[in-house]
Amino acid sequence: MVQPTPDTQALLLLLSRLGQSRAEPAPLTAKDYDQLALWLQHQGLRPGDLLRAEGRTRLRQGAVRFVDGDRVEALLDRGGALGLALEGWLSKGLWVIGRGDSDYPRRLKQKLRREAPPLLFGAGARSGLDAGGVAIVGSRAADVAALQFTQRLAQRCARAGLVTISGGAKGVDREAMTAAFAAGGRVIGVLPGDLERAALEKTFRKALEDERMTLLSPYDPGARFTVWSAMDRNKDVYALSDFGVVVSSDFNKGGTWAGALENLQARWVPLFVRAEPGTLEGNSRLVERGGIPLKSEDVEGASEWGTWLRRKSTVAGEALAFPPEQSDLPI
Amino acid sequence: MKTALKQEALQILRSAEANPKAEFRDGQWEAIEALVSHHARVLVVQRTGWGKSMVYFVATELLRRQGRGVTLVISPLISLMTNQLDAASRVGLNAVTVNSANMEDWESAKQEVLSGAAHLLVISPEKLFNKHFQDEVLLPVISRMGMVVIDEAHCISDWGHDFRPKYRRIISFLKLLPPTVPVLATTATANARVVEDVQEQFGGKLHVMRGPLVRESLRLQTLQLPTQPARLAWLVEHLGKLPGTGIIYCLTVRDARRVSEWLERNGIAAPVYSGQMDDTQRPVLEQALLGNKVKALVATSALGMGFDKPDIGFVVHFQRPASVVHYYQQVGRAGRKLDNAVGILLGGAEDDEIAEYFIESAFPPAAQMAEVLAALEQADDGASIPELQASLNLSQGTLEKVLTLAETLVPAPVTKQGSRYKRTPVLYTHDQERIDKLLALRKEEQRVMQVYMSTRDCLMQFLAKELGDSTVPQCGRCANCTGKPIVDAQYAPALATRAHEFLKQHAEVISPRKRWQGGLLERRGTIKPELLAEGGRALCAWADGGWGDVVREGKQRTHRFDEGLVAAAAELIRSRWKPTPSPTWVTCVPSLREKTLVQDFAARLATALQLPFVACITKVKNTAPQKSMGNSYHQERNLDGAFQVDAALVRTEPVLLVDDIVDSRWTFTVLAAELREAGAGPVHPFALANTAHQGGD
Repeated sequence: MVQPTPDTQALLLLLSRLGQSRAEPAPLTAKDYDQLALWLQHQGLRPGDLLRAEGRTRLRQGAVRFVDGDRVEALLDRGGALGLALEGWLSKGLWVIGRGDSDYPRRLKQKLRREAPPLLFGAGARSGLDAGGVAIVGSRAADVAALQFTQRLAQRCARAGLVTISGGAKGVDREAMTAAFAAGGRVIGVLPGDLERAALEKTFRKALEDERMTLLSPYDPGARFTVWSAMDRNKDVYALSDFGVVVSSDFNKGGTWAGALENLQARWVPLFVRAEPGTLEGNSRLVERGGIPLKSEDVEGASEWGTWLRRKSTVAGEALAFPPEQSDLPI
Repeated sequence: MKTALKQEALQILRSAEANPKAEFRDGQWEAIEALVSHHARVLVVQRTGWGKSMVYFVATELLRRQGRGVTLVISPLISLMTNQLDAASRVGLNAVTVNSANMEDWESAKQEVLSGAAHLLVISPEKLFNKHFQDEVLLPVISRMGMVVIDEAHCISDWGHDFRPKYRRIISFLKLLPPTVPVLATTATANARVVEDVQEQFGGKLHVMRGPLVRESLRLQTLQLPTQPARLAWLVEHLGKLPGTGIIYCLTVRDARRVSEWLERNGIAAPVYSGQMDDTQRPVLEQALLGNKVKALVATSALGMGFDKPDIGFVVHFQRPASVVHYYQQVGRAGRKLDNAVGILLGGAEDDEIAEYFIESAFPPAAQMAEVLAALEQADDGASIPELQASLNLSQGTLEKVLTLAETLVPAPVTKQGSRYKRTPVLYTHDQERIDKLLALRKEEQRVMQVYMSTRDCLMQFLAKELGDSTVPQCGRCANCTGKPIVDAQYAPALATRAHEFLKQHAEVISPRKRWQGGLLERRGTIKPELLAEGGRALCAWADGGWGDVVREGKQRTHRFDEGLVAAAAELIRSRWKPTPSPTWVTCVPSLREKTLVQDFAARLATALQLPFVACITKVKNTAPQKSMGNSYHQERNLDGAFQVDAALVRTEPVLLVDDIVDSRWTFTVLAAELREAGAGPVHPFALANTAHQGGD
């Protein structure tokens, strides 16, 4: 079992509920932590330094005006809870990566900058998270045509050796994951909660054991999924991929719509949208806003799939624009 | 020069011991300093009574003054917990315990810890990983935890005889604590290999502090008395002359019960103590020994770790323990605060057999693990133990052993959620090499104990050397050093004859089964009271040295049960058991394999009891032997439609139902129900021998 690095231990102490349904004191919000992280960076400190006497003294003297110093100290004192929570997670085969760890996916930091989740909990394969791939997303209430499209798309990705990345929700997400996996492809699912439970599901278990699948979540493994967390993790699904495909989306409502719009605005990755008769209204509206239309026959096409997607993106003016390596980001 | 911290620590010690001149013992201050100043991880190996608890009492108080929260003490036994609470209060610290027996106190304990009124929280390893307990009590209170203490730390090592699977998860918990939390691990018995293993498991960041193990007051002796009657007679003859009060250790619960009953019958107060007793009984017995109200407790290894009585006068072993570590831990309880105490190891003919049994059954075979994992992988939503019993032909005991092992591997291929076991995404690989190494080690440990029984060297030196201390000189006190026995090997032959008779009279109680397991189509749930069997008896335990050998002879060689068994059975039924309402007729369990054996015996027994024998049951289906069935579900199912009861022959009065061997009790249970349904009165089951295993602690 891999013990988390001191940085990740500190992140867990500051940000995780550590298995408690109501943690006292309340863990830092993303915003609070962002402030603290900037302060640490400014001081030339790392989160792990807060576990040592010297770091604690600096924290105390630092007159941290933007976060409540007592609260931070009380959070850092939760060593016992950390040991217990980690033991519970790791014994079930789960793991955790922090933003300061060397195997934290660089894409997330490059694309999401300070919004990259400080912690990633996971099950299954821990490596290969930075390989890019195709994000396949869509609404929970997908019709047969949408599911068939999803299936063919996921199979195509698997055959082309591209990772399928999805959100693990019912409908399109799950269809993409199971189809890609069944076709022998690599799969990453970014869950909005309930990681602990999903890792025990019969559908995923074997794929996780064989390390052909990764389930990820920026939230505590025991945390329940919420509408908010479902919206919030959309950015991670896109940021881990090279291309996004929206199979079906409602118009002006639902997580798929919000996430796709967010991606179009932030330009994380080129966004393809299934464009066929009978799709939901959201699909055509996304095309109007810059989505690249994608048809069934495109998916069935003969050319090399990764190359095709890249060429199509370039034609649409959505060349993969990787921001430069960001070494100036706080942990 | 003394530091300010040491001054403060000394003051705490002195006020705790109410002695203004008290000083720390060798090593105590060093351990305290490492914990308080450096938040270190420390393993203290010191004999019982050295003052390990003072180390964490003082450290807790010092940490508390620095604003740190509660000290979590993980301790394996309730006896230890009670002692901890008392000792802590003498030091002015408030310790609370939460366990299964005091659920009503959980909330107040939690509040005391949260408010800072409680300084130590004492729990068992089992509770540490109990989900409900974690949610309700532990997680809210250990947020501010100042230190962890883990008692009997040798249990962490699977090289140790006391290895407990749950401890594997404790070590991963300890390893996952951030460096802000000091950890103290303590043990009284660990040989070099165990210490090394514990150190390795901690990832090398463990300071080991080790003290001398030899107890000066202890006089050791070994005594080979092959037969049980001889050892029983020896106990009655010599126990009264042994100093003070003490402990008699047995290897199995059954042996402990028998020895206790024999001693009590001979007017010696020596109640039995075992792990099969519930949490309320054991403290009462411990108190009886602490208060010298009994001469001895007859105990299995369940009485041990942490039991804290400074004036134990003797420790006698009725059978040979599995290893030197095991033996020294038990015998080392004697004479802590006495000038003279005795440790006598009696060796018996059965020792090797029992040791082999424990070694062989220690690890479930790879095939069983594979079967259980496959069944869990197939299940849609995990499975409960009864569900696994229905799909696998494994006994409940085996299932529990396999599941516990699986659940406590790190990481674990199986996790328990409520009462359901689920397969995790963790890859399981069977490590046969390690298991083989462990088995070889256990056999080697057994061999060393055989040598101890016959060596002419100093016994204390022998033990110390085996425990990794080769600097210990000859003790000059043991039977080998002085050249004459501490206690004589002689006993009155008449006593041995009586002991032999006693063993022969040691009937086994057969309690009726109360629930159907679902193996029979038409039978479900609780057995209706009007169909239940009465409490029954078996004349003896299979091959136990009393009647057991005679039963085996009849069953396996002569194919006719000896007349002596008929007389003994009749005597048991008439004079000792006296079943009520008294049976007025006798019937028996028929067999297709041995057509006449049981019926012949039952008919002769009926004659001896002057009751009519009625063969009203016929076997209509050939069944596999019940002992080949792994669990209740399959045993019950194996009997489905196997018998037919002829209602025309059945009498409406109480009946004695006779069989030769009882094991799972399903045959008796099913036939009692069928006899009752056919109109019979209450059914009293009787068997010649009980083969159900009652090992362990």
